[in-house]
Amino acid sequence: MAIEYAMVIGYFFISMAIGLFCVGAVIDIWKINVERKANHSLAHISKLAITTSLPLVIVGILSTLFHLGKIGSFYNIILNFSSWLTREAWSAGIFTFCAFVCFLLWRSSVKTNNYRPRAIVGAVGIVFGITTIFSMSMIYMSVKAIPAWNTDSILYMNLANAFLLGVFLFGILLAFQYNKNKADAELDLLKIFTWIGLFAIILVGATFLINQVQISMLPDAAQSGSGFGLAIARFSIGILMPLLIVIYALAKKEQKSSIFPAVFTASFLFIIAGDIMSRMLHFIVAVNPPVIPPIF
Amino acid sequence: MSKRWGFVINTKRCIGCRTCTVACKMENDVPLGEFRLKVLNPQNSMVFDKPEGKYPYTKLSWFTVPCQHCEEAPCVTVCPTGASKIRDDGIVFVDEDKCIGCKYCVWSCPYDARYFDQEKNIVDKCTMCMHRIDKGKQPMCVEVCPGRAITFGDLNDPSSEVYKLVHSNPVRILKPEQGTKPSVYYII
Amino acid sequence: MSQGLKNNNEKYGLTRRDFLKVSSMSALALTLPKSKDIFQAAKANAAKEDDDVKVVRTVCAPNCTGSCAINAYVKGNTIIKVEPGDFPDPAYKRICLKGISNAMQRVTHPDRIKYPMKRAGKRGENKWERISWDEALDTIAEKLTEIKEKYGAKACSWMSMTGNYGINAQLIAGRIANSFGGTHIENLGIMGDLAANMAYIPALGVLQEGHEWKDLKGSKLIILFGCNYAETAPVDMHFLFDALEEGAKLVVIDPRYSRTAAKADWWIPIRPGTDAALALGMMHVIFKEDLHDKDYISKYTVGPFLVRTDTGKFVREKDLGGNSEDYIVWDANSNSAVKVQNSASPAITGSYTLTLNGRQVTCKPAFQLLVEEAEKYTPEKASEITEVPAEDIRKLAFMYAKTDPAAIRISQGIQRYYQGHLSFRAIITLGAVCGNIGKRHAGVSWAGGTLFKMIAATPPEWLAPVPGVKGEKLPGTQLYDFIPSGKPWPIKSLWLLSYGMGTQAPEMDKLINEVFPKLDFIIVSEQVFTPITKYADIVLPVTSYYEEECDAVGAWSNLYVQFRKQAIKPLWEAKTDWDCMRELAERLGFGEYWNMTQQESAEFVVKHATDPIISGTNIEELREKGVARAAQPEDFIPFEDKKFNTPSGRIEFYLENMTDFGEENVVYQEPLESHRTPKAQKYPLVFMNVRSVNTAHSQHVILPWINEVHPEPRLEINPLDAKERGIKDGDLVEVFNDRGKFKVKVIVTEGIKPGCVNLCQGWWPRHFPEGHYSYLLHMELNPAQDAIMETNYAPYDNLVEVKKA
Repeated sequence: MAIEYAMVIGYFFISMAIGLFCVGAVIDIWKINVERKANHSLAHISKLAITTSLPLVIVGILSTLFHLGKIGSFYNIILNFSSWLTREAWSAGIFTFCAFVCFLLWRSSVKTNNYRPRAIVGAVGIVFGITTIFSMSMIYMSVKAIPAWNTDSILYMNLANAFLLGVFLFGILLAFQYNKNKADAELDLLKIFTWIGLFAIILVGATFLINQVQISMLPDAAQSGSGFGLAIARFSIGILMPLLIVIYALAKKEQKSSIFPAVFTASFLFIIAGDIMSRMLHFIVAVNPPVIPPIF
Repeated sequence: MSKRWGFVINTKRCIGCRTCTVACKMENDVPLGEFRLKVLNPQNSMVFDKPEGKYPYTKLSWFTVPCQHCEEAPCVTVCPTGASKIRDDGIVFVDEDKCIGCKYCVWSCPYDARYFDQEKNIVDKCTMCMHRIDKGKQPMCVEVCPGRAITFGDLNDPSSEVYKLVHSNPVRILKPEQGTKPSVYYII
Repeated sequence: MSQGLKNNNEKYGLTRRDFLKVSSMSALALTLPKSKDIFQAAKANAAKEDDDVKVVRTVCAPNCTGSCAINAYVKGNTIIKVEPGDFPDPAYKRICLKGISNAMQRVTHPDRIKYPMKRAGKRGENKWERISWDEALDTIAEKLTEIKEKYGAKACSWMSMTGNYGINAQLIAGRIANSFGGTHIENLGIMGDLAANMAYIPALGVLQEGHEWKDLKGSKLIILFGCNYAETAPVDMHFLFDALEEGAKLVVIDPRYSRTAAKADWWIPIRPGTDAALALGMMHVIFKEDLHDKDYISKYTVGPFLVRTDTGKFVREKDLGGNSEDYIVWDANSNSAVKVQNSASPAITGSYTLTLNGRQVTCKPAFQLLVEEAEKYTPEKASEITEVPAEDIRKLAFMYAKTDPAAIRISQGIQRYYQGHLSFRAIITLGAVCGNIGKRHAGVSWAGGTLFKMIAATPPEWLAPVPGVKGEKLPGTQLYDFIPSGKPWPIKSLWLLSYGMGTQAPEMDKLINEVFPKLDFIIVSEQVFTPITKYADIVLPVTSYYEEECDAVGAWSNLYVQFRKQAIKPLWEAKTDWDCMRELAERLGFGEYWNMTQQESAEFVVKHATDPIISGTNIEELREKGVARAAQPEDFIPFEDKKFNTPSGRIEFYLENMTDFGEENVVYQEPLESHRTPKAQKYPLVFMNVRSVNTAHSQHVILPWINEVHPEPRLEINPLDAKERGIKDGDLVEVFNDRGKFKVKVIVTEGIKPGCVNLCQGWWPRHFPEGHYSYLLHMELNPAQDAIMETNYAPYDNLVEVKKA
């Protein structure tokens, strides 16, 4: 099937935005609501994450519009709740709204030192972010005609991609922040990054395995040979940099490293490449099995 | 009982000439490169027909695949705008004013019966020539078929030719596992 | 909207808006110019005219055997769509993809020749300068007169092919050549359809004859020799399906698993060109098992006629001392040689010694000679030749002899070999010995429609309208010899009409490098720029069928005559061949004999036809409805009266005139270039170039809709042959022999006999990365065929080798 690049790009941005927002929002909720005390330094980082996610999701939504034949009439979709596309649009819309509200609430939170409203909106945002990814996956998964889509590995892959993108982008923000402001010494970057790296490896590996297993269980006619090479490439690329980070982090004993941003940026680029590949893979493996029954 | 228009396609009478395909393109202004009705060979392709089997024990037949006008049409379910509709007489069609060209229905069709029209920027498909049948004419593919392989009529009317063919022959539908309940039956 | 309509629409779930949309769609279908942006001219034309849409019943006839009636929907001067046109018998209401694409895309094709053109560069450079019709015709008239003065009128030649099935268009070369006193280069042989005629004429006394398609319904067995109707006559296939649904069994004999073979109960792959051996093998079994129809043979064939074994001629009464030319048979009752009309029970077998002109001569009935010939073709021997298993030959022979009624149809597939006429003869004989000729639902059919009948019955005064002037004829197959050699007389100008010679003629190399340089003046009348137009000195724009005023059109295999009516006015400056020649005639001084309109000419050809079947057609009906049945009853069966227009009045499977060529009896001869000839050591593959459903010769391969389903040439090759040469599906290969080469992609398919390759023909040089298949085909003259009529061009009789390019 022809690859819809507008969708590949759009979904990439939306996923990254959702992933990043979720990381930010989780920090908010964890630090603020669990520990019951505001930590300015962390709040600053979560603000950065949430603020960044806002333009990303808007870019993403606009980009997906470009795969429509008639962009001007996109509003036609708003009332057809039976369609996963409509559901996705609503989820994405609410998510964007939450991100926007979180962004607005930041100043007042600092002023009043009351982070609770932001945490609540953040939680709602997380829910709708995940709903967006779920609907986005359901668009594929509900297509019975394409067996490679009609499997839940699409959902795992989309979730994994979103969190990888989010976490790694967050890592970059963190690394830059750390370098800029050495004061945030309480962050054990090495430890965090090791965890992020391991998390990434497990996610990439697991989604790859689940996806390949599910595709291999499809009838022959629905499998696409060309997809496997890309899947392997995506897997290798996805796993390579996180692995390097882990090795690097384990080898390095001391904390002060100015090359953290560089390592993270590089690994993030690889994650992007892997993500784009996996989204292209959606289309490449999308084989509508032959209509014609075998003659013999 | 209301009408349910349908096709019965006798593959024994189909010679793979693709006159139906071309006539449909003429009648419905289908852009170059797109088809509302495909005549597929055993390779599931419109071109370079090859028999299956080993010489000299070979077989070759074609399946004429228009929109199957499913009763449980996945394209209608997934459509986010309600542009894809089913008429009471079973015809599945696209409302040009509502369609935004998201292609979701194109992907969801197990029969690959829909295409994105680059000129109109919407998705389009076989309408069973509803502009013709509403005037009492036969769909264009039926009108032109040199082998007289395609029969059109009301599947719910016991006196119709299609009803008789469906009930007097072992007929099959395409991709029954999809549960789409097509209105197109094949005599093999 | 009326109340009733509204209710109706509500019932069908239509809102008012939907209804408007639906109605506007139907209106759109009628009013929009259909051919989109690719054809600007059509659009522009449509925009200029008003909104009325008229429906014109016309005829599509691009040399495909269909002659289908077309209802052209015309808006202004543009065809916006076509539908099948009506026939008195609705079974003939039909159309195919070629007809649709032709009307919608060829009429307004960007390659259409719009104006008369004069060559501006060298021949072959394809550089042109636009000239006016007056200049073109003045130049032509001047040039022809000059050649006439220098070399004689015979040095000017005309050749019209079958690109347009109208009688006016098809026969115009003869008419103008005869008016001018020039040479008419005949097209029957070079078109490759003459082998059949050369078997039908001597054996049955007609050029062609066939049962109407609907007669197949009722046959219990249908054997097709070299017929791929599913591709070459798709519009007739429904008749065959009707017959199969009634219980007929279908056997297809073809080296290729054609689409027709795909519909058969039994496909018999045969070595190309060996059908005569198969027929002889079948006859061997039939005679051995005593399954032949002895009564029929003795009554309606030359079977009982005694043949002198010394000279091979029939014994005549004068040989026995009488004075008539009457044939002599051996009367089994009286045990004596008597005149055929005096014998109640003539012997059809045995050997008899007669005293002829005082000498003792062994004489045998012609049938005995046939039996002796068939004796040589045991199923095993025939199997060795044909590569059909002996068991299958036996089975087929039993099937044919024991099934009643059993129909045989023969077609072009077996014509295209050097000995094609022998295959036809053998098969006709097979039908005759089983008593199947002249029997309902049986017969041995080839063509049988009005087309050949009309051509054969063209009124002589139409063909040579100028009193006292008559041209000469030369066979087209000898073109490659008589033009370069200047013998029997020099030819200095050639005018080609309706002929895609650049793709359809053999030995292109010789044509371009040896034939054309000898010609001072080449004129090509064409609709589009084809591969041949670039060699012309003047190119004249010809109208498409839809722009012609009127023409009479016959049909290949049905008994209707049609008038093609004008659907649109000529586009650009295109003229019909008729008008062009008429204007030329005025310039050449015989205009007064060319003053008929096309309508008058068409009516004249029908009304004054020399065959009562054609002249008996109801002209009024023809004029009014555009179609009328020729004067032949609906239930017409060829030869039902068992009267044959042969010298003996019987089926002549023994031809005493052919003794010089060893072809007096039904014989099998190896094709010129076959697997069994020495040449096969070097070029082991037989190269066929069959017709496909997508194009009538070279006419339709340039159309976008056709290209969507038939995108490029592909050489069919069996996996065994492909593997041997390391070729995979889709590979580019070079096909070559001693005459030339071309490059093409392959399709590796189980649907072709090992040792054979095939390319569906009609493609132009521009469709190949290099060369063209016509360079590989030969134009070898066959003296035996020349003795009957003229050599039949044998395009499938070629050896080639294929290698990966």
